[in-house]
Amino acid sequence: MKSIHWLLLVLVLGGCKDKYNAPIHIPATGYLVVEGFINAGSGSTNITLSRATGLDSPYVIPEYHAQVSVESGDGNSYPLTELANGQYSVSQVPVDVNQKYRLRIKTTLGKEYLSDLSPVQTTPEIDSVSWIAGNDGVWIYVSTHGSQTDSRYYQWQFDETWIYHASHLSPYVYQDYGMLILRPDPFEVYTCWSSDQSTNISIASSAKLSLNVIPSFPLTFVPYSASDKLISRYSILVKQEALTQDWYEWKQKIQKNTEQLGSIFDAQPSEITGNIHNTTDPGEPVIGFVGCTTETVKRIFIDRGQLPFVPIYDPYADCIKLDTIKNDPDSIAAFFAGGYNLVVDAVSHGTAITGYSGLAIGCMDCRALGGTTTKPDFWQ
Amino acid sequence: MKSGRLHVLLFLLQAAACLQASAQRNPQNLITGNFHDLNIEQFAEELESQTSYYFYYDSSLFDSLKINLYVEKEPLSRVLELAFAKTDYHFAIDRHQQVFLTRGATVETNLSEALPDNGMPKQPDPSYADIDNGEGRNKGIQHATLENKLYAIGENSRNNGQPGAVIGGYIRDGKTGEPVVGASVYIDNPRIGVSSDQYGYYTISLPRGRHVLNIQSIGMKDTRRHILLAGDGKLNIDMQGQVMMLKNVIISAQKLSNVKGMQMGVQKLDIKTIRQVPVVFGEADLLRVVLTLPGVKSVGEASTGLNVRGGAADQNLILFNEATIFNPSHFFGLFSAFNPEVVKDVQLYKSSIPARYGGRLSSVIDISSREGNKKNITGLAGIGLLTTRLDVEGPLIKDKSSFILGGRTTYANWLLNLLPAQYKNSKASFYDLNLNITHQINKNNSLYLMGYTSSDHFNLNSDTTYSYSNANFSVKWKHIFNDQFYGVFSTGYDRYQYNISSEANPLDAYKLMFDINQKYLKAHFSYYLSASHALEFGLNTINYKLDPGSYQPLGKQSLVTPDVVSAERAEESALYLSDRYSISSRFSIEAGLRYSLFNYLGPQTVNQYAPGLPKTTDNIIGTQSYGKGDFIKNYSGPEYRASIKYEISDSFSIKAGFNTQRQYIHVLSNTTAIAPTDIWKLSDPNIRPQAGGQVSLGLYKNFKSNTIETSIEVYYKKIQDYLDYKSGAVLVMNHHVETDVVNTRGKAYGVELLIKKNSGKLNGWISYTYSRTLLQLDDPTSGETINGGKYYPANYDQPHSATAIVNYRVNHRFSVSMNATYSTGRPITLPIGVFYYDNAFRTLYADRNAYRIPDYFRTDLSMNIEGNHKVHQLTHNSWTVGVYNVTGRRNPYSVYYISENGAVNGYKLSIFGSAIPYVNYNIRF
Repeated sequence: MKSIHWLLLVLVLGGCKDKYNAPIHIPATGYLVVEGFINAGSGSTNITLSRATGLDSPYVIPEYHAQVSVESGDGNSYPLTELANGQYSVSQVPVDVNQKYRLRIKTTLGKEYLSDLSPVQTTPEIDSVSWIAGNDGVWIYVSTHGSQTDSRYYQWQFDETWIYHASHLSPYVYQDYGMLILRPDPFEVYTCWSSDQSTNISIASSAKLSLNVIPSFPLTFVPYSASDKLISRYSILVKQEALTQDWYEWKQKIQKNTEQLGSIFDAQPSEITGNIHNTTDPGEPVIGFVGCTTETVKRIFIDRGQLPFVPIYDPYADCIKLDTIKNDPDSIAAFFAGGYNLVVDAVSHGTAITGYSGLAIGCMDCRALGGTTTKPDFWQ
Repeated sequence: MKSGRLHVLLFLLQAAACLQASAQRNPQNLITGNFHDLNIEQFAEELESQTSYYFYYDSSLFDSLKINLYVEKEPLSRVLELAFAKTDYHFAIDRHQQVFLTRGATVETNLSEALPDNGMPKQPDPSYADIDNGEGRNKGIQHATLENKLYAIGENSRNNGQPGAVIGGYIRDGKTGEPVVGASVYIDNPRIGVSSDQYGYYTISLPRGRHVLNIQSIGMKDTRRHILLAGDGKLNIDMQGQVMMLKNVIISAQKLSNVKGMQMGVQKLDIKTIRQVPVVFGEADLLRVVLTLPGVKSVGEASTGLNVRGGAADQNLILFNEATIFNPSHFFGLFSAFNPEVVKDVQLYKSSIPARYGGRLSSVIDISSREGNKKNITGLAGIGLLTTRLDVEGPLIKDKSSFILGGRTTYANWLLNLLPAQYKNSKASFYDLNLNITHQINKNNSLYLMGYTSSDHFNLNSDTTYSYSNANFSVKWKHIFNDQFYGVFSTGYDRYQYNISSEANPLDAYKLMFDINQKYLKAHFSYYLSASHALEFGLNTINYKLDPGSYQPLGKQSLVTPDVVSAERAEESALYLSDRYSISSRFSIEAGLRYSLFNYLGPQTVNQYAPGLPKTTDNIIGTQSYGKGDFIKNYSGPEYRASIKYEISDSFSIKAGFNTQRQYIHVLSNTTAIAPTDIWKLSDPNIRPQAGGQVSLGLYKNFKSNTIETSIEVYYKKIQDYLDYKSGAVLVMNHHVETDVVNTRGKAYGVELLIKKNSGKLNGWISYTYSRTLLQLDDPTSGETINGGKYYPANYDQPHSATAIVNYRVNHRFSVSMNATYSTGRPITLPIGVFYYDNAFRTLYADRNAYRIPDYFRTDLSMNIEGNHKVHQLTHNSWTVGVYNVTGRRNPYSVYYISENGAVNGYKLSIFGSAIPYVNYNIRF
């Protein structure tokens, strides 16, 4: 709400926010960053280790070759194996809900880190993922409820996937020497699926309610005019985890520090202390909070046909002006060699092909916009 | 004042024309001296110093006279005969030992009968026709309206062997009957002066005899009264206001106060001054103008929270006619909540705070409202970009009681309607209402009633609605026991409340409420022993009731669990005595002691924490319940208020002060700007009161017959147990808020320079302040330290700041004002790095307030255009046209970094991104 206040004032008072980078350079701290949770359910436990960097050099610096393991309060240990890019994983930890669990990390520098023992949280099922089409876009909501004795703190993350089509089918491919041959499947680069992940922290609590319910928490807003997500068919997978109160409050601090600034009544940014500590130097800052919980998921689809008749951003809106290329090898080579353009169709006069119409590959190959032509397993 | 003497002379010439002259002999007043080449002034001075005679003459008539004379033990008449021998000059001596020197003709004085040689008439002499001796006609109070009349005061028989006598009375505006506050009342020889108090009442102790009483005040014509003081008595004085539009622009009552006044670190602004300073949207804004004074800062343009000499915004006692205003702002903090039409003046005490004030560490901002016109019904209507105002005032009983009713409301919604569609349903509104009634029961008793309410309401797209309001009511009774002793008794009720509600989702629709209520009783006495000795004493008590938070479901469907943080009650009492004593005419001291006592009262359940450990929920070892009215915890302590003044010359003085304060009520806030949703908290067993002390030293020098005032003040201040918050503190609806706050200490020091020109076509002031405010949290038992326990700058630490306010009156109908402000950017906490988490780069913070936002600079201009100045027209109108932030500079309010779509972006936020023009129209009827 606060950022909305701010926006209001900006508009009312002719105020403004300008891009600004403070003319300071602070050396990178290199603090260890630990992301992920101990999965008490059937899924795998995935932990990502990285290092904090300088404000003026925001790159992910993965932490390689660490020894990471999940430990139970009664002394069992389950090592994680290293994947790429600082990711560590174990397929399933046999979690006993009466035990507490923690994460142990040994880095190649010889430092050892341990998270506090965390009780096991059980996440209730997601009741519904619903949506409301507004004037400017679609709001997506999540609702859930748990038993009165369960955790009342929740977080969500989501993965979005949407299908889209290139501006035209691509019936030909360019061969060497100014030759065009028919594509075996003209739909090969016509249909793509793009995906996106939540970048904001979504947390909510029912602690102030008489029942342990989260009624319609607004998860995300999909705009009509700023993205093509809703151009044809859209899907969102919502992942839900129940948190302990400490864990929730830690996430809330990060949210306040990194997402909820810019109003007149800003809270001062605060230092954040998670539940991971250097075993020999407790004063060393470590970023992260590792808890133990299960994850529940729910997926929904939204079709363009379910939406009101509104214009939706079309990345191919400009792909209407076709070039025509004479059907001779030099002209074809000049235009289509190098892979910057693709053939839309043959131009014929009578039975003779006199030329080819062509367009930039950005219009013709849907992969150019970052999607993949591989249909996801879940796609219906 | 020689010309003043001439007036008397001419007057007496007419009055006493039929009387017979004869110089008297006075063997006690023998004169000795060798007078060489003296002009008339030097000669008269010399004679006055050797005798008890006063001389009256027009010096311009004597400019060619040089006196060369040697006399030894000669009576005055002989000396004058010798001095004026063979000249055209004459003298006459009357029975009041007044000597009239003339050229050409001799003054006739009334000395036909035998009189005691050295005394006053035993009873009024009817032949002394034009000396208005009130005793004769109207036992008691005299109403002195004429400048050239001699008013006899007191009966000689009341002379108890004391050399002096005391006069008291009210100074009023002759046109409206309103009291004139802060008027200077003084005589020139010897130099004795006082100021009228907030009721227009003055008391002055003078030697018996003949005096010219000078009266000066802001916006009033300087006037004088001739008095013949025989004993204690009363004299009410009417002053004539200068026609509003033609007003001589700034404060003249302060001419003397800067150097001569006892207090240091005091600034007074009257509404005329306030109105001239250009402000955003043209709403004359008292607190914004206070902000231009040296030593007063705020964290930014969106905040009316004042930081006075390094104090926090909650350390200011904001009094509006005795009532405490807890939230003095409107519209997100952009305006102050005081209607400029009702306000008379504001006084800021930032250093020596009189003993009668207490309960806050940093400053007292005492705002007084006008009294209504006692003669006629008048009014004013004004219209500006955002607000419209209507004020009506007039007599209830002519000359005895009056009222003033003022209201302001906004129609800012039109601005909100210009917003994009998604804010179409947004609303913002505020209003404030004032009603003051003054009734003079009789000459010794006056009654004052005040009611005030202000309310703000805003909602954004029907989602969350915020509202807050102040409500204040007070009754004040002033009783004059005698000329030297009066008392003021007041009682009242102050309330501040806010609530936030959201109905966006019916299932979790809620309403959050907070309120603070206080009832108070104050008795203040002022006892004026003599010109050099005065006492003030009194007692006051405040009864608090706070509802720290109530969270309630809204609507039938709501699942919100009602939650109430239990109410807090307390009693804060204080007893004080302050003594002002002049050791000599140049050297004065004022010493005050205030003893305050705070009782935290039941019913309440108090958490008990393991001693020596951080106050966290884990360390709660038990709770203790207390019944209604139980004394749960008492805090008490003395507060010292002392100041000394030494006048090196009439226009140069040095002052020093020492002050300590205690504060038992605190604002809990973790925002930079004071927010309408901040809550107040009383001291309790787990939260100690704040204490502060300040030493200060100042030099005051006036130039060009007091039209230019300069001052330098330095101060050093310590604050103990200021309440700061822990990282990530939850302050609202917290049942154990002591676990989220910590006691810190602070120190502040600085030097303030001020140059002020009070009159003339070109007037205004320039101030420069260097100041630092540093806080420290190094208490290991608080559970955490900030910046490793080192001192760190407070949010409002802006080392350099400078302000210039310049008014130029082009002619009587057109004036131009300019305001320019510079200050160092305030400290902020910048990220020390970024990390990647939850699919986004996010910022990492460490040391608090280690960096600063860019410097602040702003210039504003305004023009006042008055309608014509015929006094007797039905309405007077005026226009104010101005531009706020003329240079359009985008002054940063804050700099922040935020994660957007996975990336960290830095922004600089400005409240006003361009020049903002405004226009205001006022009509007076």
